[in-house]
Parts: sequence; structure tokens; C-alpha cells
Amino acid sequence: MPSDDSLQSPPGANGDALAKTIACALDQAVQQLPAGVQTELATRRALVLRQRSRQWPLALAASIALVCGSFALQHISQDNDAMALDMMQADVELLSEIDMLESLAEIDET
Amino acid sequence: MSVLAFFRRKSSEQALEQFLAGTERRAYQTALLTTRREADALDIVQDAMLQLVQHYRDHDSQEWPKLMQRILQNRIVDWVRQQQIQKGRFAMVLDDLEEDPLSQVEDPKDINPLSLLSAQQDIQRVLSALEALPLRQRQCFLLRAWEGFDTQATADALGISTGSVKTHYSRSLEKLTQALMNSQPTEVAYAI
Repeated sequence: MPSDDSLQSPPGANGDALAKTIACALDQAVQQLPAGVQTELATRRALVLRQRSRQWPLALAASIALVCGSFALQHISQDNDAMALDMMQADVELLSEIDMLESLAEIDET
Repeated sequence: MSVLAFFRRKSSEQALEQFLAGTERRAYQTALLTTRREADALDIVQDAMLQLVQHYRDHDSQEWPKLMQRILQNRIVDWVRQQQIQKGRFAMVLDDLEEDPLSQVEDPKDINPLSLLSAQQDIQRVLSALEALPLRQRQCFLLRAWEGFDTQATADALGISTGSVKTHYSRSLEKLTQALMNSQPTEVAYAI
């Protein structure tokens, strides 16, 4: 029961008694709520808690997708590295062939 | 997630469910006093529970009652505002609640409403008297007298000053006293 009112609390003993009595009446009203209402409240509570618990599979799925995505990106980047290496090697071979053809042409001229 | 954390979380979920199960009917009754419609009161309680679960489940369980009341009272105020807007009246009933009424409060020492109530034991009369209170007065009365909140906790839950809480509480007691003295036993039917 509230007891920290000072200047602005007018009720006094009767006010406190009235508040207690009304609180008791409210408790009785709650006890007498229709069964249908109590059932509906329990249903909605379960719904609320289920909504919350339904979020963890989403978080798990998102985590898995993230991991898969990062692996795929890593794989793609490795492929890219290999492709660049192949191209570099092809370029080197091409350049050496050009050099060889040029030197052969010089030999022919002489 | 470690096994310990998993079980701790599971225990917290059970505690939260127990808390909601123990709170929901009082919350419903609180909302019903304002809405007077079962469906709206149920929606308000569900919304309050959802907000508590989504945003405050990881808080200390000792804080849940105050957080729940804060959310619930805010939802009730939102509902009242929606009703006002739907009715086309934008002048809020809350606006005129901040004036100082102390000079108008009578000392009820010379009356004995307790005897009136104990003689009639009429819960519906109490509910009707509470419904007739202005919103802020009803909120203050319910939090202080029914939920057992002190002035500061009530002020925190409603987002108003402690002085306003004291004012609204004393006004509510005065009006309840008068209402219970003057009222006759009535049947109150709630719309579904």
C-alpha cells in the first residue's frame, strides 16, 4: 500500500481503507473473469512467446547463409587468382614466341 | 552458443512465461476499465506482452512488472488517442489533467465509504466508479492502490511528475468516494 504521500495526499485513514477495499474488489473481479477471456489470454500469451521463439530459426538460417556466402566468395576469388595466373603465363608464352619470331626474321634478313 | 548459455536462456524464457501468466489477467482488467470492450482490451494486453518479450526479455526479471505497466499504460493512452482521432475530436482529454486540483480536494475524513462498500459488496459498482474516472486519475489509482507502486514508480510508469501523481491519486480517491456514495447497484455489460 502506498505510504509515501505527504502534503498532497488527502485521503487519510479512510482513503487508504477505501483504496484497499477497491483493490480487493478488483482482485475479485480478476478472479471472476469469464473462462473464455482467460483462455483467450493464454492463447495470445502462447502466440507472443511462439513469435519470439520463431525468430531463432531465422537467425540460424541467416548465419548459415552468411557462412555459405563467404565460402562461395572465397572460392570465386581463388578461381579468379588461378585464371589471372593462367592469363599471365599465356601472355609470357606469347611474348616469348613473338621474340623468337622476331629473332628468326632478323636472321632471315641477314 | 554454449550449453550453459542455452540453459540459462531456456530458464529465462520459462520465467518470462510465468510472469506473463501471472500478469495478463490484471493487465486485461486494467485495459478493460478504459476500453470497455473485450476485444480491444485483449489486443492491448497482447501488444504489451509482445513489446515486453521483444525488447525487455533480457532485462532483470525484477524490472518486468514496472516495464510491463509502463508499456501497458502507454498502449492504453495510445488507444484513447486513437479513439479521439476516430471520433474527430483532436482536443485530448489528457491536456486538462495537469492543473493543480489540491485546493478543491475535500478532506474525506468525515465519511466512511468502507462501510458503504462492505454493506453492498458490489464489484460492478467499483468497476463502474473506476471507469468513470478520467484516464490519468484511473491510471494513478490502479498503479498506486492496486499494483502497489510508490509515487516515484508510478510517475516513471506514466511519464509524469511525482506531484502530478499525488494530485491525480488524491483526486481519484475523492471521486471514487463520491461515486460510491451516490451510485446505485448497476449491471455493466461489456461489448465484445
